[in-house]
Amino acid sequence: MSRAPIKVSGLVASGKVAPREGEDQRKPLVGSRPAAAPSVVELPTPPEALQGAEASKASNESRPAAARDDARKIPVTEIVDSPYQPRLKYDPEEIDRLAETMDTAAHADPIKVRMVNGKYELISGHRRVRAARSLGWAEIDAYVEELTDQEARAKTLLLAVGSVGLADFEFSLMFETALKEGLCKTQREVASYFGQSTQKVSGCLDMLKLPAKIVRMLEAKPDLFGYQTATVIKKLCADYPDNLADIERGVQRLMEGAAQNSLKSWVLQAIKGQAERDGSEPNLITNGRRLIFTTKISADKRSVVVNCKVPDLDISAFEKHLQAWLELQAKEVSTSAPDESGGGTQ
Amino acid sequence: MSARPFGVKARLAQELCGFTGSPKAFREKYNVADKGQYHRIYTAEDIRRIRMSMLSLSEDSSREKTVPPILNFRMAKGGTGKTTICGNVASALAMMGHKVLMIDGDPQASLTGLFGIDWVSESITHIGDLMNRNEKKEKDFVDVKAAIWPIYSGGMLDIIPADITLADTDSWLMGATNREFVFSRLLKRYVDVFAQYDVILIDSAPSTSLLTNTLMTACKTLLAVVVPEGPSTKALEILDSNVHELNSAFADAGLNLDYHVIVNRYNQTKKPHNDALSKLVSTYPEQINDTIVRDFIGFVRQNDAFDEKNNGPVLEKEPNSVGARDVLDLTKSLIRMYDIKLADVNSLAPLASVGRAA
Repeated sequence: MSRAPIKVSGLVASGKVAPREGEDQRKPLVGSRPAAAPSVVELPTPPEALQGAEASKASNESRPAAARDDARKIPVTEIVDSPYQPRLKYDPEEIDRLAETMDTAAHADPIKVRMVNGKYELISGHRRVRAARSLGWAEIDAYVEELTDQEARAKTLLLAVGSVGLADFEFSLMFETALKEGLCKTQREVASYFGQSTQKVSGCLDMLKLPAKIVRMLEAKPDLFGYQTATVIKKLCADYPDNLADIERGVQRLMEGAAQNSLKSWVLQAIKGQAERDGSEPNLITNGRRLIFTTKISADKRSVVVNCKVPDLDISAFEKHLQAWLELQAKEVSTSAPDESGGGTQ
Repeated sequence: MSARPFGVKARLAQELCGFTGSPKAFREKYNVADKGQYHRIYTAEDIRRIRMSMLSLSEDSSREKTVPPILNFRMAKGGTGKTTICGNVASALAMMGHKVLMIDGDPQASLTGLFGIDWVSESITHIGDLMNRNEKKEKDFVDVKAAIWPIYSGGMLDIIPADITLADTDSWLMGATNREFVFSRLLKRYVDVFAQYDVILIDSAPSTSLLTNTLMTACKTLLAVVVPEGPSTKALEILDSNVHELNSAFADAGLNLDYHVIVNRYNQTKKPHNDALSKLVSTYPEQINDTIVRDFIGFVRQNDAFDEKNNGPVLEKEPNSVGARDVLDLTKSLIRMYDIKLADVNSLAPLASVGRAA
């Protein structure tokens, strides 16, 4: 509909507008602007209910701050993965890099866990824990929180959104869980809950409806393709329901490192090539000098097209003969397996 | 004069209400009376009603008896878009459910004209008249209400219009005692009338005069509308020194004015605009608003060349245009900055997605 808004900060970030050094800067006249409104009157205090809400919000905000002092060392061996964690695959190189920073720059951000059956179940920090294990650490800084299953699930999913390099397929599993568990009712709600576009949400959810074989490939390699490619695959499946094998081979190619954007043209090429290979060359029937008939087995291999090339042949008489022969064949079929089901003349 | 019959279609209404459910749920939950049009039309009043029920407030809840936040659009140069931005922001605020009062403080009366009032033939009581009568010795009752014209029904958008005689204000202001606070005194005395609005917008004249000064002292932060071009940035320096002058002259009275810069009519493809914007960003890093209003021809189409009655802000005429999007975005930032509330309830959060390009 309309273009995205232009922001000063965006222009500065893109380098289009560059503040120059040494300019005479005007400081705000009232010092830095207070958080409260620059309005002419004393701002009325919020009504009681709201004050209550704000107070509780304030206490909510102070809680994590208090928890920050609470961070304590817990044994790495006692930590188990969250069952709600959407990530399916951990890139070992990423883990190595993370381990390197944790080793040289120390562990800055404690992980979050909760106690379940005497073990620490992760809320966030799956990659950090793996890095810690690879470093051979015995202990790691953690916040131990008290959460119900439902809270833990919501928190794990939300924190995972900000996580590094989550693949679209992992997103789709996450969205599906959110819908199934009733965290959100509609796709639109899912979009605002996870801060994703509605396009992405519907695209990702469609990924799960792809043919089972392709979904299995995704499970093995979640970053195989994104939701946009999934839309392409879905369209291909709808357009060529008979050529599922070709589409699957196309996806298999992605596994071997082909580019995602080459998929569609490759599959179309394969389907077209197939059609050409299937249609055998026409057989020519001549009377020694002239071409009289051509016969051709068509692509679906269940019909034969007979083409009469001379105008003076009585085509209805020909059809009668053919019919008589076919009836003879039909009688034999009742005892043996069928081999010829139809024929056509032109 | 009767109010303008303006409303928006369901989709925009849903956005302005900050309703996150499905369009169907919105239509079913917050139905509006079928006014016989093909599309359901949501007026400012409808949107206020819907937002109040979303905030679970009763419909008749109102503000305390205090003067609401005042947005004064002021710039020391003509033609930068003060009136355009003022009129559009006013309309946007009303369409987000706020009760808005506009005061035309410019003798050229362009804001009055923007909303289709023919100030040449109509009989108008302008803000200068009101202030003058309030300063009379007898302290007669000044009928402020009679000077207010309705723009959107239900008191959602009202205006105190102006005409050319507002230019005479300086002649009597010259002799008024404590003339810089004449406007503040009017606000204070008739706080009952002004307190029913959630926000007041003033469209000021470009000149630096006693009238503009008295309108300036009533608010805390001016809104300077700037075109990223040489003469305009120069005029901003003049406004800056004007503000400094007032602040130092009335330091004892506790005057502490500030200004906030809105960049208008920006064209990304014009290099001089980018240069001027670089200069603005270097000089006024703290004052500049992040949202830029782009150059958009719809702002010129606001004023009908043949019939003044057809005038109207972009938000009314082309609600889905680039210009309207920028206005909604800007309005949202101003709601945050001035803490504009809906009947005293902070109401920005549901508007988080308003104004983003759809």
